[in-house]
Amino acid sequence: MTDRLTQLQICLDQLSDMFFASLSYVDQNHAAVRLTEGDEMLPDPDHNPPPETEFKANLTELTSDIILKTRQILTIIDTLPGVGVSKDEQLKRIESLSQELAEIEKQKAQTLQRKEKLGSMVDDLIVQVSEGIAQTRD
Amino acid sequence: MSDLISSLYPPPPPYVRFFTAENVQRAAELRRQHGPDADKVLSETKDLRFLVPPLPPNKPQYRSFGDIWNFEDKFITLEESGIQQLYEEADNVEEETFTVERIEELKKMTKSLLLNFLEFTGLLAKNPAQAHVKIEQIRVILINLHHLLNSYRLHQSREGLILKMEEKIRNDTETIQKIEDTCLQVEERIRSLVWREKDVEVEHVDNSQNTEPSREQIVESVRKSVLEGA
Repeated sequence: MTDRLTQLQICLDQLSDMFFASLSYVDQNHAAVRLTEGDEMLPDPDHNPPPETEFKANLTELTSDIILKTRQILTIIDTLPGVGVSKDEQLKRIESLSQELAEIEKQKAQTLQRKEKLGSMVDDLIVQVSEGIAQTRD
Repeated sequence: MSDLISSLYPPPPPYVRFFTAENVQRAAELRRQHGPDADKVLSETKDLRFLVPPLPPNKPQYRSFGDIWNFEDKFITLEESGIQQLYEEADNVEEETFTVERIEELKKMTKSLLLNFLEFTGLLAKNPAQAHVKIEQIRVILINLHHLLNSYRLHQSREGLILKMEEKIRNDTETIQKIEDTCLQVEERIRSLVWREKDVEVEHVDNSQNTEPSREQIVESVRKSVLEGA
């Protein structure tokens, strides 16, 4: 998944694409209108507009898509992280976190060492106990 | 025009024909002879002029693919790129930080974008001749939006780094905790094996109660309890 900012930028681009797409749709599919009342409608073989209801339905879909995209953009804007935090604060936080991280790394190394020790002790125990068992069974 | 685009790649620049093995060798020789002045001598010698490497550019900008670029990466303000800035801002705000006001501006501009599109469609229907004005306004709004978002980029990178570090610390703490738990369990198990045996022994040897059992004692008692269990 990309980060929020890239997401937002993609959404904006999509929104402008949708603007263009809906205009193109209207441009290419609208029905012809008489200029003066009573003119004869000449059929144009290159222009086949969809029936009025379908055209309206598509318009509704296009507009609701645009509204939804806008809402999505607004939502993403609301979830942008770290708003109102200044650069200095961020840098300080990074500083303290890196110290904490170093501390944790040390602790982890110690714990791993302890685990190793315990492991070898258990190994010893097993070997000694099994040797002992072997001897008593003789 | 057609002969200009006859090949996929443009032909090499004409000066390549000076880069012969012979010339390169001559240049190397001249360089050895003249030391630090070699460049000057070379540039005065016929055929060898182009073998002097060009100086690094001394201007702040260069042209490429028909655009002007800065050598140095820097943040270009809207004003510098000749676009009207639609949002207001306090003077002392750094470009790199992100304030609550900017969020508000982003939202305002998004809504304004929608409204402008609506007006644009209306204009196209009623008076297409005026539409270009609206197109320009929509363009400016979009550029402003993208500009604000881009100025947020660095801020987000730092924020992302912080989140990653926090996650790493959390994961490490968890791992440490798990390892310690397991260690404790193992120790507990060993101890229980030892003490089970001890309870039996207590009747015989009283003084062993308060002292930590030695390694041999542990081994011995574990062995016994394992044997008993078997």
